[in-house]
Amino acid sequence: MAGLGYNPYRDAAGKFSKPEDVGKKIEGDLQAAYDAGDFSQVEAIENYAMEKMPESPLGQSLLEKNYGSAPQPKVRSGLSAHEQLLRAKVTELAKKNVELRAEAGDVTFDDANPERARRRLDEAIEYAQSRGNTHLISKLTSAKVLPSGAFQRESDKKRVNTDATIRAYTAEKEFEAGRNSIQAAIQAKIDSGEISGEKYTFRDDSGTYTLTIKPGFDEEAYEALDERTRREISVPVNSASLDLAREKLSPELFEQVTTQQQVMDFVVGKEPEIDGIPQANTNLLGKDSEEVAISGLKNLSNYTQAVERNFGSKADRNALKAERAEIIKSAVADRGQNTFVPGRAYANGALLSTRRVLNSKELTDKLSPAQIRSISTMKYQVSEEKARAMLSKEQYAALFEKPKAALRVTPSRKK
Amino acid sequence: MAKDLAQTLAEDLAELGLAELVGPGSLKALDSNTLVELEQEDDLITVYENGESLGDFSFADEKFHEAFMATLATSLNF
Repeated sequence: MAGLGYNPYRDAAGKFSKPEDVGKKIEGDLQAAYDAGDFSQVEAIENYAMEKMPESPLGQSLLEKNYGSAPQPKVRSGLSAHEQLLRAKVTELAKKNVELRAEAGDVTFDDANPERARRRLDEAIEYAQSRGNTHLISKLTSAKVLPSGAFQRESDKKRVNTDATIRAYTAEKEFEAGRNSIQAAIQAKIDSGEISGEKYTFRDDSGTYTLTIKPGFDEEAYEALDERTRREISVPVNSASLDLAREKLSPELFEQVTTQQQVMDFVVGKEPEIDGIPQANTNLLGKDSEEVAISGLKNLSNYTQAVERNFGSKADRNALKAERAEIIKSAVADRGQNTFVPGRAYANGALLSTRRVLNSKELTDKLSPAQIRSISTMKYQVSEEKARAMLSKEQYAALFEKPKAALRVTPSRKK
Repeated sequence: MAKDLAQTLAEDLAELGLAELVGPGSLKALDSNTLVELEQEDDLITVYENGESLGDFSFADEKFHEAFMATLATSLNF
């Protein structure tokens, strides 16, 4: 698409701009292009702002100017205006489909109220759209709603309900966010040079906390490369496509080369209130690299211990999650289609569905090379080797050698 | 040095299509950003979910396979 010819991250000499300066640079470049009467450059910059920065003030005002109204801000950034409009259309069609199925009595399993079931699916679709999850929208479109979200396991009469499962899921997301905020604070110190080195370890009675710093791929630096450079450092890679396999192979063969899984997705349109979620401390203090790194690891230890005090250990939480999932999955296993298990709030629930995935060992065992070719698609993948040959040393380092933090938590075994 | 069991298991799971192999002993869930890493030490395999240990599994234990797969299924949503 147009717009990719403009790259605010680099100037004419190929020098990188700091990400925080990019907004100002785009506005300056746009003004300069207007002043110079270079309207192809104006168009390129405007397209860039709409496609790459749709949630920025400039992106929003341009989208409003060009499309009448800016797309919903809930849609995640990084999508082009066209993609956002297409997604809105997909949602509209999905809801229409559910409406028609409700009218035909096809959205409930039993004699439940189809209007309520339809409302649940509509709200679940809204949630999926707000997350940019078109795959979930598609699964919800064909789902049927169970009348209740409470289950009991026959063998030991153990009870489980969807709301408890959703609360645990939401709590885990909060813990992940807390942990990620500490990791981001550590990463910021690495980026600013306040933490250097390769590995730091902090031990206390609760366990061992390790920070490892390794060179890694930098998505931002990749995004900053122009389209041509990205192509030059990529190589074509063939990969088998599930859709093509479904289309080209006989149903029997398709079944043989795929594995079936039962998966559970959560819909949390109304977040439950959960007491006891701790606040992560992202202040890292110290007079040298080691002290700052250890300060971050101590914060991680305090956070992990606070979570464990209120919600149990990670292993225990995971075991409980597995047990609940097993009870719900077995209860709906013989329903034979996508099943929406309701929570108390209309906008909450869990979606049980099956998916088939390609089994690469079976593919090579059961299909001829020609058959494999017929179900394969080609995509481009960044090649480190090509990048080393094509890019300057600085560009290569910016792309592949960004120092990245990885945290590891190992609880004390004596616990 | 022979490839360790953790790496072999990770490759097997990726071959079955249960997760995506993203590095030695490292798997990524198909529909989320959950990263599962398998690390072997003697006869123990430690499973890490996004850097947090979910526990040690001993392959000398006769229930190893059941417990190990249940943990992975929960973490990787399959």
